[in-house]
Amino acid sequence: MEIITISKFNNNKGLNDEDEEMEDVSNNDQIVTPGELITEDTVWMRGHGTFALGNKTYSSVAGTILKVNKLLSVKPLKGRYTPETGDHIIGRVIEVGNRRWKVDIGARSDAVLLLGSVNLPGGILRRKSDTDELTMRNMLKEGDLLNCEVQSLFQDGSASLHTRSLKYGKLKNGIFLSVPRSLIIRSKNHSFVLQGNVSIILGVNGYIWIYKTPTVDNRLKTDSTASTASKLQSGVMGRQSGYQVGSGSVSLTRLEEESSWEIYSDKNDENISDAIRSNIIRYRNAIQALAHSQIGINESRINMAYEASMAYGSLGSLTEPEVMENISNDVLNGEKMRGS
Amino acid sequence: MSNKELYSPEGLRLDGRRWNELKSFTCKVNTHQTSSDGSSYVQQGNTKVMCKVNGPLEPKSKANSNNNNASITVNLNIASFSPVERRKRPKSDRRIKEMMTILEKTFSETVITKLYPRTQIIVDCYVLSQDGGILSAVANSVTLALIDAGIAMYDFVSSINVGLYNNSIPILDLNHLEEGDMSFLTLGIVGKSEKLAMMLLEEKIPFDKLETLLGIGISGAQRIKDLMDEELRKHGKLLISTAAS
Amino acid sequence: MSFSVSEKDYLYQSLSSKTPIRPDGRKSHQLRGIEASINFLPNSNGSSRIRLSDGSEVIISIKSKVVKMSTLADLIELDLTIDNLRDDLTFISDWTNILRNSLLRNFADKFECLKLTTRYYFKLYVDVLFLSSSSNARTTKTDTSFLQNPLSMISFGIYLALKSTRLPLLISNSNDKDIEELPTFNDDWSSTVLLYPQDEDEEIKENNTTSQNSSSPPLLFVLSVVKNNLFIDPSIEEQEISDCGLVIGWCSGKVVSPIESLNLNQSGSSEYIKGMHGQNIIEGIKMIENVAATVSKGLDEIVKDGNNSVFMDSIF
Repeated sequence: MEIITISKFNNNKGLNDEDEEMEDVSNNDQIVTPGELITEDTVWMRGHGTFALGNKTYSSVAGTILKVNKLLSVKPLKGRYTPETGDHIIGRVIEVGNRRWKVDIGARSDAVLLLGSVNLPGGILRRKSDTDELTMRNMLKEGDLLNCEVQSLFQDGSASLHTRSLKYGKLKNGIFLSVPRSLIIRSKNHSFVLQGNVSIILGVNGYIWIYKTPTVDNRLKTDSTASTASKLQSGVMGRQSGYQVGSGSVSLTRLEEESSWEIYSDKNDENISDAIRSNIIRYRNAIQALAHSQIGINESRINMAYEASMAYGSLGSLTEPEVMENISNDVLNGEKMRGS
Repeated sequence: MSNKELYSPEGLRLDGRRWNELKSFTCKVNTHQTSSDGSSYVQQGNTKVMCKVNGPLEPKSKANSNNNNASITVNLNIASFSPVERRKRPKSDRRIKEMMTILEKTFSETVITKLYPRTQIIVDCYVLSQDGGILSAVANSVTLALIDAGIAMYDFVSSINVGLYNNSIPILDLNHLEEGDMSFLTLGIVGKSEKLAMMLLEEKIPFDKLETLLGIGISGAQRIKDLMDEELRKHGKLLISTAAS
Repeated sequence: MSFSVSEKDYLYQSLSSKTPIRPDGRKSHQLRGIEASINFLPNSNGSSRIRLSDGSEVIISIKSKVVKMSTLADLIELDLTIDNLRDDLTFISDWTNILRNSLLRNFADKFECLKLTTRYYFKLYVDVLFLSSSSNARTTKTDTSFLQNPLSMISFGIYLALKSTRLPLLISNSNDKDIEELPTFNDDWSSTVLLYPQDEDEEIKENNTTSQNSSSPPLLFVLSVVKNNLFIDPSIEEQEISDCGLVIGWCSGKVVSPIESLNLNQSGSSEYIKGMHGQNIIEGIKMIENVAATVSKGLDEIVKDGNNSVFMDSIF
């Protein structure tokens, strides 16, 4: 019976029983530490992770040397998330301010989301008005999670976000998980539809949202019920005065308004089945297992870890350190076999 | 305890070390991966210290916000059970405050704070067991945790203490019995250089002996630096072998 | 911790359903795994360290001191430090009291071990250092919304530390009624005595399943109540949305006091606080009766390992 696993302290977390193999890898990635002289050659431009004294360039962090064209930088092994324009991330609102929200994105400083950078309820193309300022808390409030993109960076490196796309916005129908951001492997796409009716957003900043795949049917259904309601209303008017160009547009704006408030709703879908809920948890534990072993996380590894987790019985057993390590090993071995 | 027992005529100290021998030094980084941005554990003899660094992050209060630099806050928690005789120190203890100030000043100089304007770096240190040289062990653990957090620094700060026995014999890396019985100075140096980043002397030491003590301390601290550097590289290789690729 | 409304709603739906699903997939009666070690503080009589995978951690030290006879209640002092929080906060003294009282109540037969002479006793200082998993997210020094209830974890730690505690052997006369003398001790570590002696006759014990007569320190279990469901060892998310919390003590094979309700919702948002039925308490006690023996057995393994091996040098 699974009740508790009590293990002795394991000094070296992760998969380090492959010392010999490690040697091979380390040749390509030479590690420098702070204060270490990298080069006296002046042709290099000095990037992040370096500093200069005279002609000499030193490392300021522990990491690996990165040379791109004439730019020399040191990529730290670890560190807080540094936002870059275009990053697909997840953030949590921590403050509602004057025409802006302050958002925690796990970076050095909080990001801002300007009122002008969100889809306003009542139509994407509508101009923002004074009432929007007063109803900001109805859209997003403290604690809310956002799926968003880094729009631009301020001088001090802090980020300005936007959610002006249908794929961005407030998150619901799922659970949140945070992993060290260095484990997230950057790719073109950071939001995936997985098997088992589960979708995932793998924020570049290490924040992850696992949720029920929104069904297109479902959306249409809610929309159509809303529109039948408004049709009924407009229908009464329509019968009185016959067809008018304006009547349709009234219901359209109304419909738009309803559906766009819908994107800021806190209400989860009512019909999330136990099967989906279990799948969500299985994905969560699969990702935890990868993070536990400090393995980089991407879509294919999540899928492989999910598959691998099936062999280890109940969901609860996936929290055991030994099982997590086994899953990670399975994933790495699977990759080797496929030769990727 | 009489002075004579601390250093035998054969040149051995109470714990069997010679005058210039370090206590056994071990360290680890990334010990608190889930609860901090950078973390470390340092053990020098029976002195055991943990350190967690969080930041740079949005300052918790305006007072810690500086438009040009990151502000570094050091919290030092000396556990009541850490000394041989249990002793609960109030948060306002003068010596703890002093050590926190020294550490804050030292690391504000070593971290490249201008890279992180309007942010705060919070350093939490926990002394779990004391056997002399707390300030050195804490300083070493802070260096490691800051590097582990990926915070840019000009160099390591490595620290050690050195005492003067009988006003004549310099002794490196004192334990708590030795600390109680001779005047000593704690120093922190920058990387492998001979530059001092930190120095604390609470008692009297004859001026003409100071240079000898500094020399011995500097070479001791440089050895500590090598040991820390080695551990960091070992950890780095491990990370690279498994991490994102 | 600040969660979004929909996150909390999702969790609540998952936990309150007929077939509840916990956010980490654990069974209702399954505790989170822990990493534990003992005997790593050279200046203490006993010590332990426990860490959860979420990063929270507790370090316990037991130190003894020879004192002149006083009331029994004075022989155990418990001090709780949480992160860098001020120690005059009400919930810290509440937790300290719960822990200390449960120790005192279940220590009666051990007072004999602390007695040195007719005049002198050992006094035990139990020092607890709890490091929460998210001290960095705290906004002020008194902000406790990120704190999960640590009672269960701390009681496990105290259990381990007490079982690893060694007291020096008295070599002076134990009867000093007539002649007052300061007690003296054998200063050899190998001649120290375990406060909780280990069973040497392991085989006999295994054959005899009912032998649970050797006493143990108390354990505390925290339960979270969501509608009709009970969850042992709730994580911080589960605590946040609990209707109510319950702490149940267990010692030497049976459920003991405290059996108290707790407020698990540290962030103080009241929407989820509801209270519970009497039935919940009965079910909770049943659950603890089922799992507690396994937990203490698991902890004893660590103790056996730690006490038989040489002194742990490094704790990492």
